[in-house]
Amino acid sequence: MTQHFGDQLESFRRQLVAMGADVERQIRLAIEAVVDADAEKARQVIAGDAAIDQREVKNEEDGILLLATQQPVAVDLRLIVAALRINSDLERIADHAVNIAECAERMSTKRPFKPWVDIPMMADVARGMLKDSLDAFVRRDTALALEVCRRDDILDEKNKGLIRELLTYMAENPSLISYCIEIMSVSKNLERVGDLATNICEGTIYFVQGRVIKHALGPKHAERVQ
Amino acid sequence: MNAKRTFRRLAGPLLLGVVLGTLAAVLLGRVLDEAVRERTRVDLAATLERFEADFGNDFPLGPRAHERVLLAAKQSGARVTLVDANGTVLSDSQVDAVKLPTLENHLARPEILAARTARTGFAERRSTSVVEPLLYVARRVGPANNPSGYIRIAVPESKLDADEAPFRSVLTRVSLAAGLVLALVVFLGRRRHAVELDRIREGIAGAAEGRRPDAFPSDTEEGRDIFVALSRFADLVKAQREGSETARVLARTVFDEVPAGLIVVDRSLAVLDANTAALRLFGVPSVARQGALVDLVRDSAALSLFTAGTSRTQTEPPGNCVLRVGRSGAERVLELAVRPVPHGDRPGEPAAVGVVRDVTERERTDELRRRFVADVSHELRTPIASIRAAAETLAGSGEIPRELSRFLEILQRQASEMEALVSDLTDLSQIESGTVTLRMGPEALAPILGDVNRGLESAAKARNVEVALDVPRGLAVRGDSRRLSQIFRNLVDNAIKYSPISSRVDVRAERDGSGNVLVHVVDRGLGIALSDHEKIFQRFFRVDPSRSKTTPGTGLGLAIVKHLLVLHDGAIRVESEPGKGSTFTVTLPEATAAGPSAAQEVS
Repeated sequence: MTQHFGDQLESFRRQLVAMGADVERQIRLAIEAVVDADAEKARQVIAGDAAIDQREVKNEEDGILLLATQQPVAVDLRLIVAALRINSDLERIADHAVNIAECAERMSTKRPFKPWVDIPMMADVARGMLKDSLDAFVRRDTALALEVCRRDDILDEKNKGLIRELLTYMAENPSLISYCIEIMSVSKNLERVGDLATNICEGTIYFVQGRVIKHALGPKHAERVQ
Repeated sequence: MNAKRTFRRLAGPLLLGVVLGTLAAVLLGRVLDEAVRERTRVDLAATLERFEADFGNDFPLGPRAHERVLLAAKQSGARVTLVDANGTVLSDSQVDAVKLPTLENHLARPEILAARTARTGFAERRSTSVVEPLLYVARRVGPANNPSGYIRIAVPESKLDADEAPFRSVLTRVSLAAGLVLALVVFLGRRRHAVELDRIREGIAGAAEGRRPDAFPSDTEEGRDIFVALSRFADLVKAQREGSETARVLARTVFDEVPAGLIVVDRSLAVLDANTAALRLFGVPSVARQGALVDLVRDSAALSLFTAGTSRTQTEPPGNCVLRVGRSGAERVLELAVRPVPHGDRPGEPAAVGVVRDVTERERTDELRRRFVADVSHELRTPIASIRAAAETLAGSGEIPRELSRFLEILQRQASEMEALVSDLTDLSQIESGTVTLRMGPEALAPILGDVNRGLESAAKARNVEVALDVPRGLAVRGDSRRLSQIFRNLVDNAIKYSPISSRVDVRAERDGSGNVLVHVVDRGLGIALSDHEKIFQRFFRVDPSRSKTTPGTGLGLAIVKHLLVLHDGAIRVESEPGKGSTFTVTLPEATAAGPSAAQEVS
């Protein structure tokens, strides 16, 4: 019975990591769609979201079933609880990928009025955070998880700076407003991806150490992490 | 175990001994019985002879006959009867004289009947008067034709049995003893065999583990043969075991120590094995061994390669991919090749092995090279254009002395060659980096090839080369017209350049019957050695470096053609022999009427 539970738990964990792989691909494609102005990739991301949603529902059902039927304790219990949180975090990251892809689809027909170096840079950071947060979960690496949480500040600063810059363009030239709003939306979505990657890391730390660090990283994190 | 086996071995012979002993006792008893009876008969017959002498003259009956009969009976220990010739009992030692007349006539008794003819008669039967089994012997007195009477004596069988009894008991004991001895002999014989069999069994078991037997199973010729055979078997097993152990250790060592990362996964994408290099490349501590593949790599291209590699229907290697792993900022580029293997941890269960190589350095140098070429070609363009413009202006000014205009020509010619080279370099770097956008659409071949031909007219005329076009009307391919022109211009230009003076170049187009169009460009030039057929499509490769002085060219043309054709889902091949000219054949997908008519962008 114990062995049986162990197998179920491991397969539940693998499903979650496999979903993580899918979400990483969605984010990568969405970012490529923006950077390369590739509407085809954007449509691919939008079409791929349904599969992620199905995965989320399946993972949630499996996790709840394990909680209800096996009454796990200690690290097993923490794994399931953390996995359920990470599961919904991943699903929301995938939703942000869709948002980014929708912006990319709309922007693909317009010419950028200036090169947006900040967007690829933010995209790299967000992608890296997501990847490292999943790596930290897989390897139970709390040091990496904490480091990812700290990286979130870069995204926040970039996002704020970009919004200020865009506001000046929009004030100068109202014809740029629609394009600037798309850029702003992409930036905001990338910043949210970073927040959710931070949540995943918090889940990992809870699972490995049994410690809740949600509001321990300062007031800034507290208001952001829901 | 051993006692049980001994008992089993003993029980059989014991049973056999008892049965045989009993049987022997019974048979011998019969023989004894017969012998005793025979002796008794002989004894009784002798007694009767004596009685005949005693009573012979008394018939029909002498004085005191009855007393003498009783006496005789007492002496001989037998019943004595006197019977007259008519069968009337005259006297009987066991019947009172008064009862004699009640006895029936004895003439019909078998012993009397036998005695009448043969003088002496025997019978064994139950007596009617005394009621016990008796042995009767009768003797005729007087001649056969006129007997005077019969003397009969009878002995009870029980007396015979009592005589036999001591003999019989000895006989039974001896028989049983013999049976037991037999059983013992059989048991010992079998035990000896069993010991030999045990030794052979142990010898085989040892040999199967590669140990030679330490002694002969038995000191016989067969035993020695078996020993030799077992020793040979043991040596063979030992050699094979050592061989497979060596192979296993070697394979394990290679697996662990090879610098390439190796991962073996089963159909559920669980990691069956991973070597240290793989764990190092993926930056995973060794605890992840036997874990899930997704714990090592989450790259979707890599995962689908493994999925393809472990599917039952997969026989071809599913191919390679490049993936990036590691902390963002310190990413490493890995090249992964997946190969299916027929057996995983169970026979028949498909698995796949992933071979991982770190190509970070290679990727970086490739990237550097591409960027360098792109930068250099971009930076060179402007100065070259200026040189050309300046040279043209000078040439047009008419103020250059005649003797200096030769240098101006050199300047112009070299500048335009440099421009071509830089333009080719730019093209190649753009194609390689994937930044070329093709406007794909159905393009009729005849006008493209016609334009190419016209564009090269002056070059052809300079060498007096005739370019013959043979393109069926209505033949169209899918492609970007500008790039298609570039492809064919390069090929036809090469054909003209490498043709002998006053020769012919053929350009023929045809359908290949499987949805493709073939365009052959045939020259009658020097030809290309087989060993160079692959190299000519590499950058800056010239078949004959010495000719590069006489024949202008950048050495990039065929490389550009090849890359452009790859972008068009096409291909190029060459057939050539030195001295027999060359044929370059381009394959392009045919544009059908039903195909996409609208131009479509492909990057």
